[in-house]
Amino acid sequence: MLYTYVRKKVPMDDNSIIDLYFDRSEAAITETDAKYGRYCFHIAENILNNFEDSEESVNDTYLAAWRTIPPKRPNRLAVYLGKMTRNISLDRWKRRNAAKRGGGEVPLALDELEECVTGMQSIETDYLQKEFAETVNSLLESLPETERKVFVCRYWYMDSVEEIAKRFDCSESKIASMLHRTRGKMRKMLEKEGIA
Amino acid sequence: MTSMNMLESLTNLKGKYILEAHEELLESGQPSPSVRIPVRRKKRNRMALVVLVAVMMLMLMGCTFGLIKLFQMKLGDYPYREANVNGETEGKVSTGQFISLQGLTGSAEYLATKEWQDFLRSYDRDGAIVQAIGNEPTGVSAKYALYQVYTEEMAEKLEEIISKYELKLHSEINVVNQQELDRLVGGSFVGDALSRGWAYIYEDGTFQFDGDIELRGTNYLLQFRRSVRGTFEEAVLNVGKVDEYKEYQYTTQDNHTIMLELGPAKGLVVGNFEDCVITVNLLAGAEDGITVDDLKRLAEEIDFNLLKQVIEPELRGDSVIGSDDAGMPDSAGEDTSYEQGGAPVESADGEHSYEPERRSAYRRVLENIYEHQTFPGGRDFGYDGSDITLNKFAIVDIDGDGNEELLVVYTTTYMAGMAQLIYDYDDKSDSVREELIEFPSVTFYENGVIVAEWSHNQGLAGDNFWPYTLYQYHPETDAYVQIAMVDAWDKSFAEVGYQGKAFPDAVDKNGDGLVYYILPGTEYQPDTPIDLEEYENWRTSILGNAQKVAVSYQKLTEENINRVK
Repeated sequence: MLYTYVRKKVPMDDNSIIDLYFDRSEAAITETDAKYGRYCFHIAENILNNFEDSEESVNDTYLAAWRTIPPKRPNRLAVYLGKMTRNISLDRWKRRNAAKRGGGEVPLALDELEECVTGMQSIETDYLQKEFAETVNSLLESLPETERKVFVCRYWYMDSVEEIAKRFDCSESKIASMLHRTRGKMRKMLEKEGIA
Repeated sequence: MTSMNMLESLTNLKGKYILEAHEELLESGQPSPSVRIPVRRKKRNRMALVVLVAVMMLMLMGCTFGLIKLFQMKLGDYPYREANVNGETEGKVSTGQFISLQGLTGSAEYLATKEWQDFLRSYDRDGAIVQAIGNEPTGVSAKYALYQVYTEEMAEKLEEIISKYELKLHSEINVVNQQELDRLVGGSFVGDALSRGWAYIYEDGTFQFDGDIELRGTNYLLQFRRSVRGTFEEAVLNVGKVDEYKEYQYTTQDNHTIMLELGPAKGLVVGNFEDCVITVNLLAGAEDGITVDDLKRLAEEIDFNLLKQVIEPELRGDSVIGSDDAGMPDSAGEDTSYEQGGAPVESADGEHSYEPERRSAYRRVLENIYEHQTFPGGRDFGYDGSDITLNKFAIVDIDGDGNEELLVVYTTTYMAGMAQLIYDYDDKSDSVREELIEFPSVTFYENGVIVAEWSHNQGLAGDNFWPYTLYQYHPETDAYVQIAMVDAWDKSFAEVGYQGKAFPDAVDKNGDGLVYYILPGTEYQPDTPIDLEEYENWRTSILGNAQKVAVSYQKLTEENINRVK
């Protein structure tokens, strides 16, 4: 009596989705989820390692998008949503874990990045964080494509080393070495800039 | 700067680096995995998203007027010829805004219709080609008979569009009366205030009819259409000017949120569902005194719950194409007993015997369900307080034993309590016995087989297969016997299964990423996967060429119950 259709929906283009936000149409959210739901969930789950928390982060992302568009009109909706999801998820991770580290990839990534911290005391300011991001962007510009993608997968998307190795069809040790070398380059650049 | 500062700062990496690292996540465009179960189960996880959106709407808007705009259905401004007036030979050419009746902006159906309509507006603009053809055969394949295709060039364009958007073409159409339409759709789907004329229905369940509704003592004409997704549609609707409509979101008493559109000369009721779009075009608007309350009344006459569950109709096989009255049977032989709302006297094969005691026992069962929500044998399926008439029943010889059974579909309860029941009459006790109880997602076959889909798909089958249980009627015991449970494993859903086992590639001979499990007995132990060919051979051995049996249900109303005699 009842049949489940497996239909392929053509994803809406970003401008049309953003138009829906501007028109305050609820279809903006459903279209956003249809196109970017899996992408945002991937980011959240890698950080939070928990289905329900990740779902909440994705929903919080949609709420944040609804509140900020308009007036914002993102040039690249995927990047806009991805960054919001990442920030929201990291905040949630911090609240959840407070003084302890908890599970998932975040503690491992933090441990790895520790070696880039030079120990210099500095004030945690937006300015420093912005400088840091610009320095890392310059670093990524100089890297071969694979090393750049591996770095971003590991420290932006928080993919596990195992997942990255599978994606790039190489051994985990090779990925670990690649990341180690990139972190070394990053530390040198940060020292030169006097940031970390 | 701590490592956490660094991790947080990395959010500000350049977008191009972020996107290139995970292009595959963005290429296909997929929703968050919380949407895993089909919408027809009315999903808790998807509901979380819907509730979120609703809350946001109320928070940020502060009003209950809907903000789903007609523009989402708008295809474009197209010229059209107005109806002849004042004895003129040709109506005046004007421009109107046309809407899609099948999908919103961005959907495959919408895009295909728009592309086709844009093509039609630019092709044979002076009509020279169609005039040259006149009444002669077009020479174009009959495959396009249900579309405005009269040249090979048009056929090629249509093929290009349906291929691009992965849609089918309509292949069959029947003109049917009200009762037949109800049977094909799965039951009566409109209330008494709405009267209907003849309808046409396609092979995929798309249908349309003209009718009228009485509102505040006046009859207003309307057009009623259900457009099923997945098939290319040419039908569009001229709504005049979208900006002139006032738009409202309305939640019906049976909890369906729909759009009401009130324009100066037209009123629309639009239900946008997973598998179909339902559009009622009231041929009167605000200038005729129509109010939004009138549109609400119209909406309440429609059983959206039934209509949104699209059943593939079994058409006659005599596809009627041509003039409006071609193929319409005459009125002789109409089933007036059904028109009066009584339970069908005749079974599907018309050969059963009529027993008043049986009917009386069935009536008692229905009365108890209606009044007390209690079932024979002391069964309690719960009750969620919603409209009891949403439940359905039918009295029909479903197992072919020559006696009528009582079928009950009970859905006004929590998911685990929903049930499809088959009762038979026990003359010794002058009561009923239960022949079958299943989740109400059941298909009956004429050879006594029942396919009962499970209420949940929580295994490894993913979206491409829904597990089910097979039953076979045994006339010697007058009972349904469970043959097997059937489930599947979709590799694209999970490469590693239960107990950490890897997907059995060696079994998947055709390499489609799906293997099947036929589980005899009642224990769920998917140990032995088989490939598609073996699964299909097994299924064919059970079903053969047996046709599905369409059951005409009635709503569980006091009136319908009283007619069971």
